[in-house]
Amino acid sequence: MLHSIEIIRDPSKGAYSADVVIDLVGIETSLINAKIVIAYRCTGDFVDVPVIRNRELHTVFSCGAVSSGSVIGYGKYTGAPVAALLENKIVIIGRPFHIYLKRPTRLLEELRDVAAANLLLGSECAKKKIMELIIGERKAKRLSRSVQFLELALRSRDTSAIPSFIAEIFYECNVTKEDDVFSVIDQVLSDLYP
Amino acid sequence: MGTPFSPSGVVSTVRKYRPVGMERYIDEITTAIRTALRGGENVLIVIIAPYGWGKSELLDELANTLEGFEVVRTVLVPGKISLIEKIQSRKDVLKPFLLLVDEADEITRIVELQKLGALNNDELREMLLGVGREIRAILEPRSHLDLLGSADKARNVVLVMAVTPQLYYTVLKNMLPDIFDIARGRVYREIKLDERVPLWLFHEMVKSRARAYGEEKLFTFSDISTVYHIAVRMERNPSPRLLVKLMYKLYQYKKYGNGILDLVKEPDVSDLVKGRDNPLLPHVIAGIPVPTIPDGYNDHFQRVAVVKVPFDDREALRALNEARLRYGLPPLPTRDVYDVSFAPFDYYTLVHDGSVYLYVALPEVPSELKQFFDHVAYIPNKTLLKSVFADDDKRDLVEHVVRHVTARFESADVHELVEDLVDISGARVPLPQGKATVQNRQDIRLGLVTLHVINEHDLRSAVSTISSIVDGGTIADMPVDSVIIFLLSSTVLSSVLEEKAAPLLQKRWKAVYKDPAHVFVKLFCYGADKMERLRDSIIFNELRRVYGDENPYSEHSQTAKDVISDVATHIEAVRRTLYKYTLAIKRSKEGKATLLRRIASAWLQGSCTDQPHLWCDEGGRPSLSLVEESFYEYLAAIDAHITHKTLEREIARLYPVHLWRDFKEDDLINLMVLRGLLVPCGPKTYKSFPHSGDCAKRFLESVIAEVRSLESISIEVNTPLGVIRLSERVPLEIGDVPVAISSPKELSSTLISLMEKRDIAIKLHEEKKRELTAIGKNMAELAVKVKGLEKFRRLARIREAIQSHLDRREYGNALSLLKREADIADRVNETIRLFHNYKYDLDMDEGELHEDLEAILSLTEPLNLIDVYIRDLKLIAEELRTDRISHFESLRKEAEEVEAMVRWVRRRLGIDVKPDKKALLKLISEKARKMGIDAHLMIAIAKLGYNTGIDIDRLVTELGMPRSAVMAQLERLAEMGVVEKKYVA
Repeated sequence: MLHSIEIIRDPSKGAYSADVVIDLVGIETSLINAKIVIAYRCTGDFVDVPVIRNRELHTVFSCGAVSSGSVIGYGKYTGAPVAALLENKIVIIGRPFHIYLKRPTRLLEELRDVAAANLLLGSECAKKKIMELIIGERKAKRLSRSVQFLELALRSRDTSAIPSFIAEIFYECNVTKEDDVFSVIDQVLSDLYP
Repeated sequence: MGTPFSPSGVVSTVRKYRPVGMERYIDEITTAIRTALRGGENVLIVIIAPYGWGKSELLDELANTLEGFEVVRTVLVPGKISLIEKIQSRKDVLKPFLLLVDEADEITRIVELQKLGALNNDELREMLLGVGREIRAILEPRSHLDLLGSADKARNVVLVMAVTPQLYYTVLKNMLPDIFDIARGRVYREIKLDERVPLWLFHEMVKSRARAYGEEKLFTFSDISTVYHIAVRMERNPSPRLLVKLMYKLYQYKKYGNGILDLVKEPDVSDLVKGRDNPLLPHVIAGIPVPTIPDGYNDHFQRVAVVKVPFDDREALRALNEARLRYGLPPLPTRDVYDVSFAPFDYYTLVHDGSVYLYVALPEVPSELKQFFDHVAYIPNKTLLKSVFADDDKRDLVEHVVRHVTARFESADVHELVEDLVDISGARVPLPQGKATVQNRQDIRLGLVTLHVINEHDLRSAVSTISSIVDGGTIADMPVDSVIIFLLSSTVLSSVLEEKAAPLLQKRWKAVYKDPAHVFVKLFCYGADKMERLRDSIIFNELRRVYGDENPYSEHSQTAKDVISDVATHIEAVRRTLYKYTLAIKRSKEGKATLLRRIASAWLQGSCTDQPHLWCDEGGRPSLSLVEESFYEYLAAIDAHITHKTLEREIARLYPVHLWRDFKEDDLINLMVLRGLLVPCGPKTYKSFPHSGDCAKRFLESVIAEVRSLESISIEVNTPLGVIRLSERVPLEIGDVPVAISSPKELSSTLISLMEKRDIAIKLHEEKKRELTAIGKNMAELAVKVKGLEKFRRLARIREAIQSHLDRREYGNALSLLKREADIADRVNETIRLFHNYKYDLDMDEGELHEDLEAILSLTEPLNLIDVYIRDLKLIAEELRTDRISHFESLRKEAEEVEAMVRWVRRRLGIDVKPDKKALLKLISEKARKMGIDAHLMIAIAKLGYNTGIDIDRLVTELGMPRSAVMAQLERLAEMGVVEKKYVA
């Protein structure tokens, strides 16, 4: 759950570690340890309503495009990529309207929903998708080749052994750390064989 | 025994005298009879005269005069009509038979009775038919032989009927027109007796009668003139019967009484003569100048010279009249001897040796009349006259009028007098040789011109004046429709004037009209020979005006009346002719321009319109009106540019424009342009078609250009966002218009079709313009609202967007854009309003709001978001307000607690402390430790304040301590006196 908000006006001050960090000065995102980073890095080209996974945000507006991470939000009118999932953080390029900072209940509510929908990504997401894949294979051929590959990879602790169509799922769900990958595979396999 | 005069005024059975003055009628009748008898025809002669005017006497005289006739006299009595019987009882068929019918008055009476209802129609009809049948039988014996019996007896019959005018004109002529109509009926001759009995005639009558009865000496001239004088005062033109009755009375008084002195006491006469007892009466009553007057009465009389002038001496008469005018006396008539009679104390007439002489009283003997001087006499002065006679004497006025007129004639300055004569008034202008008056009523513009000519040079100058009036139709630049010209000269003969001036009137009037000038110009030529006649006309006309209906000189005013009626006839004729030169159109809703075009296009197509007939020829086919035709003919001769003003002036000069209905000079010009007869050639300048050159082409091109100019519409609207330009093109089909023109009709048809196109174009143009204006107005209204966005960058973008819509003529899009922006502007205003409401609750500055709004407004479709923003602004503000209120509440509560603690510490512990929460808590905690009491409990009690009841249960829950412990501690505190027993803080 999101509770705290930190607004960075001065780069030399602050802990950069509230649930939501509003960066008005342009700190390197990787330095910030938050669930959601709203970075006011406007290019001046446009202002748009961010739509993240079909949800329109009203408390925040976007004013620039994300440059890295997997895109999860687009501008309503421009279609520009305005929000991304990066290092398990949701990064939105834009700024909340001042009024919502005066009493951030609504801002937090909205961001909470966004976070709930998107931070599922990662291990949970990957696990779910791989399970679906395997169940699909089993239904079709009574035997899943993916399970064999995963068992092999887990035994050898070698990520290169993971076939590309599964690697893609990990990438999609932004599970990139080796430990995380193997923990997901472990969970999947143990769930498959209760 | 008989008397020369009878009381009833008619002659008794035996007559001893012959009537006087009947000679000319006798002559006329006998000539007529002899002429008729030579042809072997039976004739009917009718003698017409009023009652008592001598009809019967004339018949008597006729019977006496005609020799070799078998004469029978009879009376027309209804029921006893027996003309045929009289013929049948004829004695000698070889002698011509003269049948005299008198007293037809009976029939008049019967007609009157019938009118009153005393008789029925049948009887009257029967009687009239009977009369008619008998007369016709006599006049046409061949076809009525059965009635007449013998054809022989009906040969050589002369029927003479004496009737009154009322019977003749009202009954006989109407009921028996086959007989009594002089033109178509069988009556051969109508003889109307002169109704006048002048003094000289009366005098002769009296003398003749008296002589017949051997009483010649009984009446003096003075007696006769007295009777006449009285009669004249009774009726202006005394009838014979009145004269005879008066004469009979005088005869009686002369024989058996005091003569004239008794006569003036007669009832009818005494009203007229009030000075009956005046001793001078005998010298006055005769109304003639008297040779002697009683001594001592000189003051009452005026000495005059009486001249005796024979009526037949025209030259002497002329000299007499000239002299009379000099003395201020009206001229005496000179034409008919019956016109001269008698005027009281002025003149009288007598017959000597068969000639009539005038005896005229003049103040002195003029040198030219010396040989006519007769004697010196006296006439009564005005005072005496007034004391004797009852009626007013207008002699003064007459004198004045006559003097005035004569003087004017002498100085050849008669224009104003002629004005009065022909009854024209208006603006007077001088002319060479004379004067003119132009009357400008809402009728014919009438001019009166008088020109005086003395010598040849004058005559030439007058002729040229007349000529210029005839050609130009103006007098001193004032247009006239008709002119009455009096060409006057006291040296040149009328015939010479006439000869010189009349040919001018054969020219065309105003050189344009189809009719010759004499239709519009009435010329009166009064040369030396007729000048006096004009003068007399004017004098008597003036007198007529002075006296009104009671004009004693009415018999003299005939010449004036002739002039007046000539003028009236002339004006009537002018009016009739001028009517042809009037134009009119029926008014309609369409407006005049359309009507004119309809007339022109009807002319082109040869079909008639519902307009007045003047736009068509006799055959009912559309044609040029007489005005256009003549005006075009006139213009076609002019090869020059003619301005609009000049054309208008010329039309007003030439035609009676003020008589035109709903048609003005301007309309005529426009119509002629439409017909191709006049071609616009430059601004407000025209040329007639034959001389127009390439004007027609240029004109058509300018009209085409005008139509084309209607193709595009552009309007500008001033809005807070700046000037908005809206433009549109009207789809027009002008097509190829031939501009090379060879005839007026061609020009006309091209022009009219162009104008129709122009009408359509104007309609479309205006429709579009209305649309655009409505859009523009709408935009302007919306722009006022949109202007509310001026602090935001959005406005610039909107401006651009609108402009690009306008550039592409997408006015609908521009409008909907403005509408949306106006909505947005409304929301922004609402936001700002709310912001100012909640400014302190929000703790937000305007810059921040502006940043937010700017961001929202940067969106293409900000409406949704702005609505959310407004909603949240309100909610957040309300929430913040609530938060702050609760914060203040807690602060207030804390302060109350501190206050309570201070009070408690001071009273219960006896320590004076400051209201500092920390220090207090510390102090109380220390005291509690010293007393061995739980600090929290002590603080809780302190917070209750001094002398407040302690709720033990509450303390138990608040402190989370067991009840017994709380009770024990309270017990201890009570012992120490810090709380009271039953536990009050």
